[in-house]
Amino acid sequence: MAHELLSDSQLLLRAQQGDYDAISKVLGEQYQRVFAVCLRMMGSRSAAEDQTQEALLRIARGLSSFEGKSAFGTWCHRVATTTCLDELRRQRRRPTTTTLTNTDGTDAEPVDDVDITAGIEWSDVRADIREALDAVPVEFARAVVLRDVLELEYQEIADLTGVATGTVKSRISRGRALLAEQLRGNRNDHVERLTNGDNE
Amino acid sequence: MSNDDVNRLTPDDGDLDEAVVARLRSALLDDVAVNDTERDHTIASVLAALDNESQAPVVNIESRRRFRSNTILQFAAAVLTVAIGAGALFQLRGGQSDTAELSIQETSRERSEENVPPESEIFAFAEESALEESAVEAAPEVESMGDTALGSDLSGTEDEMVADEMVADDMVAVAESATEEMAGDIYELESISVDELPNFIRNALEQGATTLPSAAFCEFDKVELLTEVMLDEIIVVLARMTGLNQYLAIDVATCEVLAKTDLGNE
Repeated sequence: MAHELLSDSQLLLRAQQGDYDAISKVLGEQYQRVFAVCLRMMGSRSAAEDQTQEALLRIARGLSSFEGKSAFGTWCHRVATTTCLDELRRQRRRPTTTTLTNTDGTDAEPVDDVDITAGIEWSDVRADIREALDAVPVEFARAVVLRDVLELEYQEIADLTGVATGTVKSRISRGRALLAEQLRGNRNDHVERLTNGDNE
Repeated sequence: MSNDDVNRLTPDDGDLDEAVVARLRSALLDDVAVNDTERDHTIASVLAALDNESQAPVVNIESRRRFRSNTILQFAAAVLTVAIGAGALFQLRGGQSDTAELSIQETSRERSEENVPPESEIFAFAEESALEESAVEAAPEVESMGDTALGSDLSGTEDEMVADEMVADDMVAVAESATEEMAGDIYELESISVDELPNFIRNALEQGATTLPSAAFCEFDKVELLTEVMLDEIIVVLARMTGLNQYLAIDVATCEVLAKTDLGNE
């Protein structure tokens, strides 16, 4: 039977049985989401591409052990985040020649220099989301993204960002509030613009 | 926000409702553009890596099998040690009293006096017991022999009995140890599927396992050659008894069966 005619579950079963064509198709279907997750985690396309390959390899290796207790996409999402977390931890363990130190001699917090909106092709429909994310301090926006979009645990976010879990929770809470406020404001602005446009 | 407030925060705290989260997700994950060429290249690389890895388990199996072969040899050595010990024990008993020897053998083997082998064949008999019976069963057999000998009223002095007991204990310990190793070995053998065996054999042979001319191969009826490996200058053939799930480790220099294991019904 051609793979095009198989249902998702049949295709997955074939892939689990080692059918390379089916594996290729399954990986192809998950590629976009896995890449997006890796891009959000790693912050650059090149790093995301590397981790996407690693994540897909882990997915392919683990196909036979996937028991269907969660949706396959959810499982792939988690494999992708775990793969990126592993890489980021590995990078952190590598010795560096510079140390972030504040002027008072205390260690500075790692800088949140990851572009949380990298690679997005913004459409007009998403304009309010983009404006809201741009308006919120990056450390708060990133905390919300890591938690609500990527579904990382608090401890994982803490490890990733180099701050205490209490700070993570605080950032998420404040980030959500700021985003909501921005979105409400954007919506009001949007309505106002539409209303003014109608009047004109 | 106080620390207490922070610690009480849950994923539900904050003002983002599900619709906003869904929009965030959609924007940040679904709207990411993908390069088709890059995607195809990545997937091809993954499949190639998978393909390469599919060869690797054969090497691992070979390594495990080599370890197993060593284990088989260790087991065989243990069984032979026990057999030699048992033979020595019989000879010791035989030197004291022919009646005692017969009594021991009658009790331990439940054989009639007519069936007891001559003294010169005792070692052969002991060795044969390791060949005829499954490896796991062999150890209790030896233990039984030792226990019976020690319990005989017709044995020698008390000092000799103590010495015999120590020897028997050592033999039993060796046999039990070997049995435990063999149990692990059987478990590992079970982990290899029949489908994997041909690849394993090919791989083992390609990696330097000596192939003997068939003319030089020991003649065993109803035995299939699985593979040959060189271990400590001994060429050991792993063979399977046709139609049975019994495996033999054979020293091809002497055509001697070093060990036999039965995987039962699978």
